[in-house]
Amino acid sequence: MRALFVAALIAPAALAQQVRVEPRLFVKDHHYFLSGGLTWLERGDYYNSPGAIFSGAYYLRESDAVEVRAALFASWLGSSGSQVVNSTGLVPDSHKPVSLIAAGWRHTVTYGKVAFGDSVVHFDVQGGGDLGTLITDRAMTPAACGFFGVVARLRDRLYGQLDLTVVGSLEHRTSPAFAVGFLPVLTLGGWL
Amino acid sequence: MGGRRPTSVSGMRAAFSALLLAGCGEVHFVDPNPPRLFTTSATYTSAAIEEPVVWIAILDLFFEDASGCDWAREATLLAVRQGFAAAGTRQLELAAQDLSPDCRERGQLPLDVAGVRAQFGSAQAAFPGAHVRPVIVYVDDVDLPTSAETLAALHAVRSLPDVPALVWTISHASVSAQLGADRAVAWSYAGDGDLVNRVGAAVKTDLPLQTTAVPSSGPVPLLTAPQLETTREFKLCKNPDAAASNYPLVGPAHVLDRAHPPTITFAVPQLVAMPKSQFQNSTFDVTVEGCMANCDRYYIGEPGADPVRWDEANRCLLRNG
Repeated sequence: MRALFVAALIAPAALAQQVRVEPRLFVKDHHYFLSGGLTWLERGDYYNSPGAIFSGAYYLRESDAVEVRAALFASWLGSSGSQVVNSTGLVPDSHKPVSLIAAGWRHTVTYGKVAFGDSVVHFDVQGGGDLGTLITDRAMTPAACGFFGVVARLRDRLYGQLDLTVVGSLEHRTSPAFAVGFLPVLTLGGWL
Repeated sequence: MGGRRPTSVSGMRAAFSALLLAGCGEVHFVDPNPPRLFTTSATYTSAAIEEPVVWIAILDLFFEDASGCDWAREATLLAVRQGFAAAGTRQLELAAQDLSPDCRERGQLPLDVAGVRAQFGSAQAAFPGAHVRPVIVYVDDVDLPTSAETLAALHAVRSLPDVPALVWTISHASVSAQLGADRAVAWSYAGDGDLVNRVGAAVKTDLPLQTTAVPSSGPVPLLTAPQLETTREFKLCKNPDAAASNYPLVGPAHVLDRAHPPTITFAVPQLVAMPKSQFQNSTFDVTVEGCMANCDRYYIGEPGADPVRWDEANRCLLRNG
């Protein structure tokens, strides 16, 4: 009896409290997204390949975009490779990456929001794929990329993008080889 | 649609396998200035010279009706003569011997061994420097073993100091087997028009007799003139024929001395006055690996193989070397 009384007192107060839903702020449909940032191509080729990358995407609808990427690498032979070169004169048969140009498709898998203190970050989890060319010190090699990542709205018209990309390219080394590498990409940009 | 699925699955598997085979990005170290190598071979084929054809007919014919003896003898000799003409080289027909002059009794006269040998001697004198190996054409129309005397006489005339004379038979098989004929031509009947063809076929198969031209190849260059211009070092890849001589050590690299180009001398096995069907020219070859540049640099046979400095390896390195 006592319990019923307490419940009767609390229920009206609870019902009176407003439920607030953060509206979707990160709207991409028919917008251009342009960003630039840093990357690192790691493919076990004895080269260190940090680089700058530029990305542009146009969203045909909220969850699908066409995109282009261009990366410029500042590659140099790593210490283990240099040691072999200095001691024997032998060089790795892998190509030295110079740049990557690719175009493809980007798809939003899901939309989410995360509260950080007083603010809420809106983000997309995305995946996609690109085709293009990895330009090396010796040739333009056909390349394909597959990626998975997050695009997050940082503030109005400013967003950040983190893609974890797998890059494959067909190189003619001592024999033809399909070289697979990992290309994490972190960029900042804006949308129009 | 049901039929397409396995095809596409197998296609994907094939593509995946191709990617694996392609190496999946394995990195190998290579020499940016590898030795520039080539493989060549020095080959020598011996030559043959044709020996003069010297032959003698020994007739031992028997006919029940002896009236046709002369005609049969002449027809047979003519067929043999025409058949030997197919040899197409210098030849000498020695005076025939007739062991049954009237065709009434086989082996009626003994073979004139001394006379035949004298003719052989004359033939040798007629062809100085040549290896005269006479062909004894024994004609016998009886399908019975020949007499022991005739057999012994034929063996006697056959035996010569260098190489035995050849014995051809125009006879039945029993006689040719008994004599151990070097070539047997079947006897059919006196005046057989096809005998000339059978003899001609035997002549074309074995005559003229062949002799190895020279016992030594002389110095055979290991590198051609254009190769001498571009080669800096070379290796002999395999041990040549055991009788070869005057060649560089097999294995290690030799710096090319253009003033004294490398050679090899092959010893040629001597075949003297052999029937054409048994004669073969000898061919010798030796493989040479040459280096045109960067001879001290690394050679890597296949991706992942250990690098080897070409001039330090005591062997040829090219796969076909």
